[in-house]
Amino acid sequence: MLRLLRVALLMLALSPLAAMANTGVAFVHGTGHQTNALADYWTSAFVNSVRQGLPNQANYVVVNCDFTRYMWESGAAGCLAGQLHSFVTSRNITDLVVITHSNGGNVMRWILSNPTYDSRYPTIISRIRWVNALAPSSAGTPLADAVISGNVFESALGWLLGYKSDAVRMQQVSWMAQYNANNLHGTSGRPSLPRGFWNVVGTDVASGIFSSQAYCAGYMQSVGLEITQNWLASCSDGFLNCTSQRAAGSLWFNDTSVTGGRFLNHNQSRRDCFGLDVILRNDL
Amino acid sequence: MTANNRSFRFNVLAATLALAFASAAGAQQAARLQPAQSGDLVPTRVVESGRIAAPDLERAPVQFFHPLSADETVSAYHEPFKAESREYWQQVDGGQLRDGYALALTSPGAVVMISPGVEAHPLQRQQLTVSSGGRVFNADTATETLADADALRQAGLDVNAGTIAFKLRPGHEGDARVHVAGAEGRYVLHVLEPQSRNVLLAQAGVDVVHAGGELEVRVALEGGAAIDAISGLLVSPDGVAYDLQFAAADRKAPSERVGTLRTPARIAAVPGLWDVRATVAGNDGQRAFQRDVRTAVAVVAPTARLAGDATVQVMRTGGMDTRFGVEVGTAGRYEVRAVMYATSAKHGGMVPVGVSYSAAWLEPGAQALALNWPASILAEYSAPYAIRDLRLTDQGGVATLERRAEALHIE
Repeated sequence: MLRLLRVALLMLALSPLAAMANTGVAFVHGTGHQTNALADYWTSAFVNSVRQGLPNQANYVVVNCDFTRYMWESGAAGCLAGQLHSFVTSRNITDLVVITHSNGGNVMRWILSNPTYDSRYPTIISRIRWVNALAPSSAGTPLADAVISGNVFESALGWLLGYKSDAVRMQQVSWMAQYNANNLHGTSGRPSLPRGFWNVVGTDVASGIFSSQAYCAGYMQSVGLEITQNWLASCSDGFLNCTSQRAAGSLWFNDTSVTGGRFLNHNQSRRDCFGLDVILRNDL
Repeated sequence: MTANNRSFRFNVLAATLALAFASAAGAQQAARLQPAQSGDLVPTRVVESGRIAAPDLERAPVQFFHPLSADETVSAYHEPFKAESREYWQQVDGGQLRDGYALALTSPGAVVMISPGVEAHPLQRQQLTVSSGGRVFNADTATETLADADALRQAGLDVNAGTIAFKLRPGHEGDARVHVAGAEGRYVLHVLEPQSRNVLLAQAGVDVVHAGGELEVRVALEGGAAIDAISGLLVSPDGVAYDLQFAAADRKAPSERVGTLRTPARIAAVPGLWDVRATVAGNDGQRAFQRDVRTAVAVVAPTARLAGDATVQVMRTGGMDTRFGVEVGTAGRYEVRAVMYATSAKHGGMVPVGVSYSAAWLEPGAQALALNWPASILAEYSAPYAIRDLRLTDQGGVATLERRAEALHIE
């Protein structure tokens, strides 16, 4: 309801400009070093379905960056800024919808929270209508803590802080609390972001072998989940607690409220499962 | 002094500023920042850190402003993160695992994960057995779930190759030993007791400490058990460890300890936070157990600080600039940002107006950064104004250097 109200107000405010707006959409992947996120992260089926909502379906970009790095580093936010800046300026996009998944929300939030860090950021922010954050890891995940804890070894030279990527390290719960308090906006008590950051929240995982919804986007192994769920709250998408997915910005919707009661696990929230692609398409 | 930028002189009383908004021309006033309050982060010195700025760090000055909703709640104060743990970790070698390693459990349903270190032999599920009550059980009998690295990764736990994890069936918590045939090398044994009432909490006194400053960490064991022993470390991003010294919190809180240490005055310019780790040997009167907890703090070199002086300039167009003196010790890119509050007749009091940001490359010495507050926004408000949540950041080090809840009051 809140989002509908804001949409209506935005449309009223922009109505003289709406006819002139050149809408585009950007897909921002999660943790990992992507070189072909279209095929390896999102799938063409998902991206092609979503961009059908554009007046000009060529106005889309699938970002490929190194999100194994800390969010502010040149390989992460710097790379993202480069690809978004190039996209909006080369195609004269004036109305950009950014779709992020998981840790991609943190990298995007770095840009929105730190507009002076890079002279390209203000241009990008000015072109953004809003960010649709699919299962963002805004408050980290206990699974990052668990995997880091399993990788801490003492040696004669000091503590070896594991072999995990800086992005995993960054998504430990205590680390994200620190970054939210000091380096990021949009969480409770901190200033809001300059653009809307709308969360899509996965609330549970269907993993039973007799559950048809478990199979969209691949079968999420129940054996592994039975272990990892012990670190997570009862409301989670199998990787992130709902509290983390809702920690920054505003709730757009919980999965079951728009999918006919079906859950979007953490893999499914980046795929064309249960009509998610159509919802995102209709939002453009 | 330009036509838009003419200055006037006013009396200044402490940090309170009176500005002649009736004037059609610009007005400028010097002021001092309000005294620091409890919870503020204020460097007492600046240092030349010797760091070399990344070549791709932005050099151009950038300013930005965005409005805030009047009903938005912005808090300049925040509690440092409170970490909770029902877990513990042990480094074990292959010989201990082959012989049978005793778990220290307090509740049924423990989850155990064994991760191989560098050059350790990867583990497979069929290597595992569990002994308890004088009997040996195969993995299928002793565990509810047993997952290998592939299964864990598919579930989102990015473990090392050769990791195994399992959940013990109830009944083995009394004296379980884990046996792993063929284990060779070093491993981390990680035990989570999701049903345990023994929870270890850790909270640093501050979330940011300047290099050379004191760090205090409060550690408490909840659930009724006593702390038999405690140790703790602060570990830098490059792996250097410093011991925390623990003392009882107070006599009324026998399961609380306060750890302190003085952080090193010089720190390596390695990105990332510092890990606070505490290990407790607990005892509930029936059995001894272990808990480990980790949290994070930022230890930052005070490469610059706010000098304390400020200038407020009301532009003839109706906008406002607030300029803050910055004492720079290390050349770099610095940012000031703050939230302005102003008086709203509509809302009947002071409300947040917006956030202003300004960053530039600054050389060592006396410098300044100015925040701009646009006329289009201020037109809806009137005096008094307040500049709150003023922050100085070293953008090259992603370090919050200074943070003041209340900075200026402008009548």
